[in-house]
Amino acid sequence: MKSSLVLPSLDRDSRVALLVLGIGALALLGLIALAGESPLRILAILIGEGFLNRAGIADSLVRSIPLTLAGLGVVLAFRAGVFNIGVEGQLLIGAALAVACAPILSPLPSALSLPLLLLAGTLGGAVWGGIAGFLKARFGANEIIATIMLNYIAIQMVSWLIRGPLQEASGIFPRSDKLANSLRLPILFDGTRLSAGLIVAALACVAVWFLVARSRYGYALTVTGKNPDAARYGGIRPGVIAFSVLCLSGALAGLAGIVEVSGLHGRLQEGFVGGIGITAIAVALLARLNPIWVPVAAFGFSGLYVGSDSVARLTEVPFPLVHVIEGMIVLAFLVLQILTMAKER
Amino acid sequence: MMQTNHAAHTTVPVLELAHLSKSYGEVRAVAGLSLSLNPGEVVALLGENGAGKSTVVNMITGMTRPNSGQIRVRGKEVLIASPRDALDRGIGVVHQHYALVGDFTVAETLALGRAGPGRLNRQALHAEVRRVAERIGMQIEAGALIGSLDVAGQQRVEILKALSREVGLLVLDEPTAVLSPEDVARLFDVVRALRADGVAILMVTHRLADVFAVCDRAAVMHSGQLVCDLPVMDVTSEGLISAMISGSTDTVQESERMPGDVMPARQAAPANDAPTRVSVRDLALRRANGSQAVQGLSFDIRAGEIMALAGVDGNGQSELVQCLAGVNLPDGGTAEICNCSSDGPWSPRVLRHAGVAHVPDDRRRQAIISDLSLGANMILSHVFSRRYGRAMLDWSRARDDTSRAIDEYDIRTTGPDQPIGRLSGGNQQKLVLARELLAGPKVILAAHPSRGLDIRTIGAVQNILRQQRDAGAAILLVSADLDEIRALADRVVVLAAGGAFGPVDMAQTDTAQIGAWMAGHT
Ligand SMILES: Nc1ncnc2c1ncn2[C@@H]1O[C@H](COP(=O)(O)OP(=O)(O)OP(=O)(O)O)[C@@H](O)[C@H]1O
Ligand SMILES: [Mg+2]
Repeated sequence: MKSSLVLPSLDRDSRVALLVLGIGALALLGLIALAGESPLRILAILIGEGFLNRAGIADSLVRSIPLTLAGLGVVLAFRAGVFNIGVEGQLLIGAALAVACAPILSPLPSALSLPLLLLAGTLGGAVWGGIAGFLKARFGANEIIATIMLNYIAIQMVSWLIRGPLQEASGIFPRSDKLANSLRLPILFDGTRLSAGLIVAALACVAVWFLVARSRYGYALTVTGKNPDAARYGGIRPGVIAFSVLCLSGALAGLAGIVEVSGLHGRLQEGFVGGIGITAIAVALLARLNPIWVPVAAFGFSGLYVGSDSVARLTEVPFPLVHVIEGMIVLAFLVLQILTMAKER
Repeated sequence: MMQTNHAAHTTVPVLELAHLSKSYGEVRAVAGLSLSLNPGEVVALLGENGAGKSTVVNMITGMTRPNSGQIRVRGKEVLIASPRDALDRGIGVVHQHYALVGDFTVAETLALGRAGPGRLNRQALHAEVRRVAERIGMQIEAGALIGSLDVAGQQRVEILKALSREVGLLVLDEPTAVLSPEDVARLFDVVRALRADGVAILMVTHRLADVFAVCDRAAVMHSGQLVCDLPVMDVTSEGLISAMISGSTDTVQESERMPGDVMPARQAAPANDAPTRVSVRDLALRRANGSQAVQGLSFDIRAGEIMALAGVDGNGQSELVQCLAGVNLPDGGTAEICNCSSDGPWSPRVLRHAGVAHVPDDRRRQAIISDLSLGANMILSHVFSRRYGRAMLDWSRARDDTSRAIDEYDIRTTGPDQPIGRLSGGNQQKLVLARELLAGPKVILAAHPSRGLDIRTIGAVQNILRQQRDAGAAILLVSADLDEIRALADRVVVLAAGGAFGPVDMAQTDTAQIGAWMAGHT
């Protein structure tokens, strides 16, 4: 019975997902051939550098941390049929709020200050998601438009913060001061950049899986997403669900933001989000909105990112492969969704 | 198995099915079915819930493909790949659930899906609607909006859609289930007109009255097999019932009957001092499109009483039930159920907590989530009761409840983990009923509870409603079926044309009077 809610199984949808990926890969090879490179060589670099050597794997894991966290947030929202496109904004605000709290937290003992820092990031994201949720629940605003707008506001806000109140003491670059060491997530393996954020992400996976598969709230999410009329009939209030799930989704994005800052960059700086918002959506879709598959999908994407960086360094392929792959996946799933909707008519 | 040998038609059958089989995984939905339809012949397809009737319809109309066997159209073996393909071969279908767009007019609906690019020629369309409608003596207005039509009207549009192409075979899946007696009569006029035109008709139905009213032949399915195929003059209702239930036309064994077949005597009329559970005062309700559905409606239902809400669908029954279930607020007046008032907090959650069970009329839209398991669907009405735990769900209890419901209601399924959308319509309905009656409700809002159920199950469901009544539940029974109302109700209210008649005691009225009210006459 649980299996029908979340446990992995190769149903028709997952088979189609794999098929889509296969076709996408073929198309990509064609494109590479068109660019005058040997698809095989590119493939070897892409896979080899991304997944098959120690440095590549470590780098892929580093990248997969924020993707997993944000991807889990997207999974929750999408399961409820709430399209949270605002991961980027929620992530930025989460990171910014936490960094703003850093001076208050740094004097505390590390066992207390670090969790509080993560909590601050989570809260910031939750508030930013919650604004969109409130607009939707209270005024029936479209969450897609609301979250996109809030992305722009968040980007501008952070851009101002790191040039104003949060700018580093020396005032040279548009970035914040480095976090105190007590506020940094420790590095797990020497010689890599892999931080304890990995553990945070793993815990988040378990928590979200539990929420979705076992809890009443997770049930309410799934029902609302699949049949809002039935949800209302059963006593579930779609407005409450929309608001709360946007808070939760934002919270995970905010957590992703502060984990990225505390575990990797050490400070708030422009452009550190680097497209996580969009990739997180692709990750969630590829995982078929199943929390168990999110880390796998996130790692897959990260590996492709790392690999395609190497491809760009070592070869003549004139485009960022991974963006093409990503775009293709999102598009393919949209088409798939429209097709299934049309079929249900 | 019996075969027809009554007529040596020289004509080629419009449709011939030969040894058709279809399995879904382990489930043999249809097993080696052979059936043929001649031009101008009306064949009834009967069978219990899950016997495989809709699967046959789906194979004929290109919704699914058979695993084995042949389909021959006018003597030529064909492979029907899609519904459009079926239509191209002259097979039209009216499914049980209509897929119509509310903002379109009747004529535009006809153009939908076959008009090329460019402007619609409305005049030509209207003319076409009138021509087709006239041919079969159907009354319909080409410019009417779909959203403004009642179920019967929408069904007529579906029939028109099916007939707008030259069809040799029309398939109707449970067409009479949603109609009032008057509309059934009108539908049968259309069927007779088509028959006279040489169109063959395959009609799925649970109502034996339909068989004797318009059909030439009766085909009965049992567990995927055809167990009886006889001219209607050679069958009796007893024979048909026993073929449906046991798969043979011998007399039914007493042990095979369900308890509902025997109507127990009414134990006692509800005491006059029984507490009032539902109280409606001067209620006004609007439809989703804003028009007035009900006005100035007042009645009470006491514990241990069944109040029938009769009337043709579309006269506010649905709005009333939705309001009493807390889904909608009244537009005027008040409703009170078990100490909850529509002037205070009024929502499905509040009312379910107060003990209200709700069997809605639109099952697929409201009562089930098709791709979740039976077990997950079981939880839906009890999410906020403590039955399955509070923050964490007790799935094993849900599973147990589901398994018990499967046994008690004889639900045809592979088990509690099967997605409910895979079940036949009647079996889905059984799970909804089982779920709603699970926790001993104080008030039961039952909109067409036996719609789509086979005869045996209807008897069982009616019996369960009587038991609930005797256990002290107040029941609002929405029904357009006068037999059902007579069998169950203590009192009746009729909604027709914006007005309400009654409530009146069943003992002080008769079906003729109720029928007249339903038609809007005083
Ligand atoms: N898509 C499907 N997947 C799996 N099983 C199915 C599917 N469709 C139908 N079945 C199974 O096939 C059997 C026959 O179903 P069908 O819908 O043909 O019954 P029916 O005679 O129309 O019943 P009803 O009177 O309840 O509508 C049922 O046991 C049902 O569970
Ligand atoms: Mg059916």
